[in-house]
Amino acid sequence: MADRNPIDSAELLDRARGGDEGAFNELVRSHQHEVFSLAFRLLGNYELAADAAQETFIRAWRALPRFRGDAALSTWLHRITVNTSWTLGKRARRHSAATLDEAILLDDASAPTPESSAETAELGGRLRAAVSELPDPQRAVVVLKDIYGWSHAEVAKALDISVTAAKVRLHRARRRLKEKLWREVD
Amino acid sequence: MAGSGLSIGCVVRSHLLAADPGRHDAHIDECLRCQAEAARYRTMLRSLAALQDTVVPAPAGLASAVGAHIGGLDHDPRKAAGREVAVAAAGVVAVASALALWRRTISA
Repeated sequence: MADRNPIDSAELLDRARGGDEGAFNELVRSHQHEVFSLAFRLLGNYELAADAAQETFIRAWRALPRFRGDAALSTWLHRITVNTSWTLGKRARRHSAATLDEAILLDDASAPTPESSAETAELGGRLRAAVSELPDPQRAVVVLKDIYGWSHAEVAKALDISVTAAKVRLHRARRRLKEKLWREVD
Repeated sequence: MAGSGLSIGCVVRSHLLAADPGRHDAHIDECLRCQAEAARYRTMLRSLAALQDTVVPAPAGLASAVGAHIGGLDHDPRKAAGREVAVAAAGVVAVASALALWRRTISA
Protein backbone atom coordinates (compact mmCIF):
# COMPACT_ATOMS: atom_id res chain seq x y z
CA MET A 1 0.00 0.00 0.00
CA ALA A 2 1.88 3.07 -1.21
CA ASP A 3 1.67 6.48 0.38
CA ARG A 4 -0.74 8.65 -1.59
CA ASN A 5 1.56 11.65 -1.98
CA PRO A 6 5.21 10.64 -1.51
CA ILE A 7 6.58 14.21 -1.54
CA ASP A 8 4.19 15.53 1.10
CA SER A 9 4.61 12.32 3.12
CA ALA A 10 8.41 12.61 3.04
CA GLU A 11 8.28 16.21 4.22
CA LEU A 12 5.78 15.42 6.95
CA LEU A 13 7.87 12.43 7.97
CA ASP A 14 11.02 14.56 8.29
CA ARG A 15 9.18 17.12 10.40
CA ALA A 16 7.56 14.44 12.55
CA ARG A 17 10.91 12.72 13.04
CA GLY A 18 12.22 16.03 14.32
CA GLY A 19 9.46 16.16 16.93
CA ASP A 20 6.77 18.16 15.11
CA GLU A 21 3.54 16.85 16.64
CA GLY A 22 1.40 18.64 14.07
CA ALA A 23 3.19 16.86 11.23
CA PHE A 24 2.79 13.52 12.99
CA ASN A 25 -0.93 14.19 13.48
CA GLU A 26 -1.19 14.75 9.72
CA LEU A 27 0.47 11.38 9.14
CA VAL A 28 -1.93 9.77 11.60
CA ARG A 29 -4.89 11.25 9.76
CA SER A 30 -3.67 9.97 6.40
CA HIS A 31 -2.82 6.46 7.63
CA GLN A 32 -5.49 5.88 10.30
CA HIS A 33 -7.92 3.99 8.08
CA GLU A 34 -5.36 1.55 6.68
CA VAL A 35 -3.90 0.92 10.14
CA PHE A 36 -7.35 0.44 11.62
CA SER A 37 -8.42 -1.85 8.75
CA LEU A 38 -5.43 -4.13 9.32
CA ALA A 39 -5.94 -4.18 13.09
CA PHE A 40 -9.63 -4.94 12.66
CA ARG A 41 -8.96 -7.78 10.22
CA LEU A 42 -6.39 -9.28 12.56
CA LEU A 43 -8.45 -8.94 15.71
CA GLY A 44 -12.03 -9.27 14.43
CA ASN A 45 -13.17 -6.87 17.15
CA TYR A 46 -14.00 -3.22 16.53
CA GLU A 47 -13.15 -1.79 19.95
CA LEU A 48 -10.00 -3.83 20.33
CA ALA A 49 -8.92 -2.75 16.86
CA ALA A 50 -9.46 0.89 17.85
CA ASP A 51 -7.21 0.37 20.89
CA ALA A 52 -4.62 -1.38 18.73
CA ALA A 53 -4.65 1.41 16.14
CA GLN A 54 -4.20 4.06 18.83
CA GLU A 55 -1.40 2.09 20.48
CA THR A 56 0.23 1.57 17.08
CA PHE A 57 0.51 5.30 16.47
CA ILE A 58 1.78 5.94 19.99
CA ARG A 59 4.48 3.29 19.49
CA ALA A 60 5.26 4.76 16.09
CA TRP A 61 5.71 8.23 17.59
CA ARG A 62 8.13 6.85 20.17
CA ALA A 63 10.06 4.86 17.58
CA LEU A 64 9.97 7.47 14.82
CA PRO A 65 13.46 8.89 15.50
CA ARG A 66 14.83 5.40 14.82
CA PHE A 67 12.85 4.97 11.58
CA ARG A 68 15.48 5.14 8.83
CA GLY A 69 13.10 4.98 5.92
CA ASP A 70 14.39 1.66 4.55
CA ALA A 71 10.78 0.61 4.05
CA ALA A 72 7.76 2.75 3.16
CA LEU A 73 6.09 4.41 6.11
CA SER A 74 2.93 2.37 5.56
CA THR A 75 4.93 -0.88 5.56
CA TRP A 76 6.61 0.14 8.79
CA LEU A 77 3.25 1.07 10.33
CA HIS A 78 1.81 -2.27 9.21
CA ARG A 79 4.56 -4.12 11.07
CA ILE A 80 3.89 -2.14 14.24
CA THR A 81 0.15 -2.75 13.79
CA VAL A 82 0.68 -6.51 13.55
CA ASN A 83 2.87 -6.59 16.67
CA THR A 84 0.49 -4.38 18.63
CA SER A 85 -2.62 -6.27 17.53
CA TRP A 86 -0.99 -9.58 18.33
CA THR A 87 -0.10 -8.38 21.83
CA LEU A 88 -3.54 -6.92 22.51
CA GLY A 89 -5.25 -9.94 20.97
CA LYS A 90 -3.35 -12.32 23.20
CA ARG A 91 -4.41 -10.25 26.18
CA ALA A 92 -8.06 -10.12 25.26
CA ARG A 93 -8.41 -13.46 23.42
CA ARG A 94 -12.09 -13.22 22.91
CA HIS A 95 -14.41 -12.28 20.12
CA SER A 96 -17.46 -10.06 20.07
CA ALA A 97 -19.93 -11.01 17.37
CA ALA A 98 -21.99 -7.89 17.94
CA THR A 99 -19.15 -5.46 17.39
CA LEU A 100 -17.95 -7.45 14.41
CA ASP A 101 -21.34 -7.28 12.73
CA GLU A 102 -21.45 -3.55 13.35
CA ALA A 103 -18.04 -3.08 11.74
CA ILE A 104 -18.90 -5.26 8.75
CA LEU A 105 -21.91 -3.03 8.12
CA LEU A 106 -19.65 0.02 8.29
CA ASP A 107 -17.23 -1.72 5.96
CA ASP A 108 -19.94 -2.34 3.40
CA ALA A 109 -21.26 1.20 3.66
CA SER A 110 -17.85 2.74 3.12
CA ALA A 111 -16.80 0.52 0.24
CA PRO A 112 -16.53 2.16 -3.16
CA THR A 113 -19.30 1.47 -5.63
CA PRO A 114 -18.76 -2.16 -6.63
CA GLU A 115 -17.56 -2.40 -10.18
CA SER A 116 -17.57 -6.14 -9.93
CA SER A 117 -20.60 -8.36 -10.29
CA ALA A 118 -23.15 -8.79 -7.53
CA GLU A 119 -22.03 -12.38 -7.22
CA THR A 120 -18.42 -11.33 -6.53
CA ALA A 121 -19.57 -8.73 -4.01
CA GLU A 122 -21.70 -11.34 -2.31
CA LEU A 123 -18.74 -13.72 -2.17
CA GLY A 124 -16.64 -10.93 -0.67
CA GLY A 125 -19.19 -10.43 2.10
CA ARG A 126 -19.32 -14.12 2.92
CA LEU A 127 -15.54 -14.32 2.75
CA ARG A 128 -15.14 -11.45 5.24
CA ALA A 129 -17.49 -13.22 7.62
CA ALA A 130 -15.68 -16.54 7.13
CA VAL A 131 -12.27 -14.94 7.75
CA SER A 132 -13.55 -13.31 10.94
CA GLU A 133 -14.66 -16.73 12.21
CA LEU A 134 -11.23 -18.33 11.80
CA PRO A 135 -9.23 -19.00 14.98
CA ASP A 136 -6.87 -16.09 15.72
CA PRO A 137 -3.62 -17.78 14.59
CA GLN A 138 -5.14 -18.92 11.28
CA ARG A 139 -6.85 -15.58 10.66
CA ALA A 140 -3.54 -13.76 11.16
CA VAL A 141 -1.75 -15.74 8.42
CA VAL A 142 -4.65 -15.42 5.97
CA VAL A 143 -4.89 -11.66 6.56
CA LEU A 144 -1.16 -11.07 6.18
CA LYS A 145 -0.46 -13.52 3.33
CA ASP A 146 -3.62 -13.64 1.25
CA ILE A 147 -5.07 -10.17 1.86
CA TYR A 148 -1.94 -8.06 2.36
CA GLY A 149 0.40 -10.14 0.20
CA TRP A 150 3.21 -10.63 2.71
CA SER A 151 5.73 -13.39 2.04
CA HIS A 152 5.77 -16.55 4.16
CA ALA A 153 9.03 -15.34 5.73
CA GLU A 154 7.53 -11.96 6.67
CA VAL A 155 4.45 -13.60 8.15
CA ALA A 156 6.58 -16.05 10.14
CA LYS A 157 8.78 -13.26 11.49
CA ALA A 158 5.86 -11.03 12.44
CA LEU A 159 4.05 -13.83 14.26
CA ASP A 160 7.24 -15.29 15.75
CA ILE A 161 6.72 -18.73 14.24
CA SER A 162 8.67 -20.84 11.76
CA VAL A 163 8.09 -20.54 8.03
CA THR A 164 6.86 -24.14 8.03
CA ALA A 165 4.35 -23.35 10.77
CA ALA A 166 3.16 -20.33 8.81
CA LYS A 167 2.63 -22.47 5.72
CA VAL A 168 0.79 -25.16 7.66
CA ARG A 169 -1.49 -22.59 9.28
CA LEU A 170 -2.19 -20.99 5.92
CA HIS A 171 -3.02 -24.35 4.34
CA ARG A 172 -5.43 -25.21 7.17
CA ALA A 173 -7.00 -21.78 7.12
CA ARG A 174 -7.57 -21.84 3.36
CA ARG A 175 -9.07 -25.31 3.56
CA ARG A 176 -11.37 -24.14 6.33
CA LEU A 177 -12.44 -21.07 4.37
CA LYS A 178 -13.02 -23.12 1.24
CA GLU A 179 -15.11 -25.67 3.10
CA LYS A 180 -17.17 -22.96 4.74
CA LEU A 181 -17.84 -21.09 1.50
CA TRP A 182 -18.58 -24.15 -0.60
CA ARG A 183 -20.78 -25.73 2.04
CA GLU A 184 -22.90 -22.58 2.08
CA VAL A 185 -23.08 -22.50 -1.71
CA ASP A 186 -23.76 -26.20 -2.29
CA MET B 1 -18.64 -36.12 -1.01
CA ALA B 2 -15.66 -34.91 0.94
CA GLY B 3 -15.79 -31.57 2.76
CA SER B 4 -13.86 -29.83 -0.02
CA GLY B 5 -16.50 -30.65 -2.60
CA LEU B 6 -14.35 -33.26 -4.28
CA SER B 7 -15.50 -36.85 -4.57
CA ILE B 8 -13.62 -39.19 -2.26
CA GLY B 9 -12.03 -40.79 -5.29
CA CYS B 10 -10.64 -37.45 -6.46
CA VAL B 11 -9.32 -36.55 -3.01
CA VAL B 12 -7.47 -39.86 -2.74
CA ARG B 13 -6.15 -39.56 -6.26
CA SER B 14 -5.03 -35.96 -5.73
CA HIS B 15 -3.00 -37.04 -2.69
CA LEU B 16 -1.47 -39.92 -4.64
CA LEU B 17 -0.73 -37.67 -7.58
CA ALA B 18 0.61 -34.77 -5.54
CA ALA B 19 4.17 -36.07 -5.83
CA ASP B 20 3.90 -36.18 -9.59
CA PRO B 21 2.89 -32.73 -10.88
CA GLY B 22 2.70 -33.92 -14.47
CA ARG B 23 0.17 -36.66 -13.70
CA HIS B 24 -1.62 -34.34 -11.27
CA ASP B 25 -2.12 -31.74 -14.01
CA ALA B 26 -3.20 -34.46 -16.40
CA HIS B 27 -5.83 -35.61 -13.90
CA ILE B 28 -7.18 -32.08 -13.48
CA ASP B 29 -7.33 -31.67 -17.25
CA GLU B 30 -9.69 -34.60 -17.51
CA CYS B 31 -11.66 -34.21 -14.24
CA LEU B 32 -14.49 -31.67 -14.37
CA ARG B 33 -15.00 -31.84 -10.63
CA CYS B 34 -11.37 -30.97 -9.93
CA GLN B 35 -11.46 -28.17 -12.51
CA ALA B 36 -14.45 -26.66 -10.73
CA GLU B 37 -12.67 -27.02 -7.42
CA ALA B 38 -9.53 -25.32 -8.75
CA ALA B 39 -11.62 -22.49 -10.21
CA ARG B 40 -13.34 -21.93 -6.87
CA TYR B 41 -9.99 -21.91 -5.11
CA ARG B 42 -8.61 -19.28 -7.49
CA THR B 43 -11.76 -17.19 -7.04
CA MET B 44 -11.37 -17.37 -3.29
CA LEU B 45 -7.74 -16.22 -3.43
CA ARG B 46 -8.64 -13.36 -5.78
CA SER B 47 -11.47 -12.29 -3.49
CA LEU B 48 -9.18 -12.39 -0.46
CA ALA B 49 -6.60 -10.20 -2.23
CA ALA B 50 -9.37 -7.77 -3.21
CA LEU B 51 -10.31 -7.30 0.46
CA GLN B 52 -7.20 -5.16 0.93
CA ASP B 53 -8.82 -2.45 -1.18
CA THR B 54 -11.83 -2.33 1.10
CA VAL B 55 -11.09 0.07 3.91
CA VAL B 56 -12.70 -0.28 7.30
CA PRO B 57 -13.09 3.33 8.46
CA ALA B 58 -11.30 4.18 11.68
CA PRO B 59 -13.50 5.39 14.52
CA ALA B 60 -14.07 9.12 14.61
CA GLY B 61 -11.71 10.73 17.06
CA LEU B 62 -8.86 8.25 16.67
CA ALA B 63 -6.46 10.86 15.32
CA SER B 64 -7.30 13.40 18.02
CA ALA B 65 -6.98 10.73 20.72
CA VAL B 66 -3.50 9.89 19.43
CA GLY B 67 -2.64 13.59 19.35
CA ALA B 68 -3.72 13.98 22.96
CA HIS B 69 -1.59 11.02 24.02
CA ILE B 70 1.66 11.89 22.32
CA GLY B 71 1.81 15.35 23.87
CA GLY B 72 3.62 14.26 27.00
CA LEU B 73 5.58 11.39 25.48
CA ASP B 74 9.32 11.31 24.99
CA HIS B 75 10.27 11.47 21.34
CA ASP B 76 13.89 12.60 21.22
CA PRO B 77 16.19 9.55 20.97
CA ARG B 78 19.06 11.54 22.51
CA LYS B 79 16.99 12.08 25.65
CA ALA B 80 16.13 8.38 25.75
CA ALA B 81 19.79 7.44 25.25
CA GLY B 82 20.83 9.89 28.00
CA ARG B 83 18.29 8.35 30.34
CA GLU B 84 19.62 4.86 29.61
CA VAL B 85 23.20 6.00 30.35
CA ALA B 86 22.05 7.59 33.61
CA VAL B 87 20.28 4.39 34.68
CA ALA B 88 23.36 2.30 33.80
CA ALA B 89 25.65 4.67 35.70
CA ALA B 90 23.39 4.53 38.74
CA GLY B 91 23.51 0.72 38.58
CA VAL B 92 27.32 0.71 38.46
CA VAL B 93 27.52 3.07 41.45
CA ALA B 94 25.08 0.90 43.40
CA VAL B 95 27.07 -2.28 42.71
CA ALA B 96 30.38 -0.56 43.59
CA SER B 97 28.89 0.72 46.86
CA ALA B 98 27.59 -2.70 47.74
CA LEU B 99 31.00 -4.26 47.05
CA ALA B 100 32.78 -1.65 49.17
CA LEU B 101 30.36 -2.23 52.02
CA TRP B 102 30.79 -5.99 51.75
CA ARG B 103 34.64 -5.68 51.81
CA ARG B 104 34.49 -3.42 54.84
CA THR B 105 32.22 -5.91 56.60
CA ILE B 106 34.56 -8.81 55.76
CA SER B 107 37.72 -6.97 56.91
CA ALA B 108 36.03 -5.88 60.12
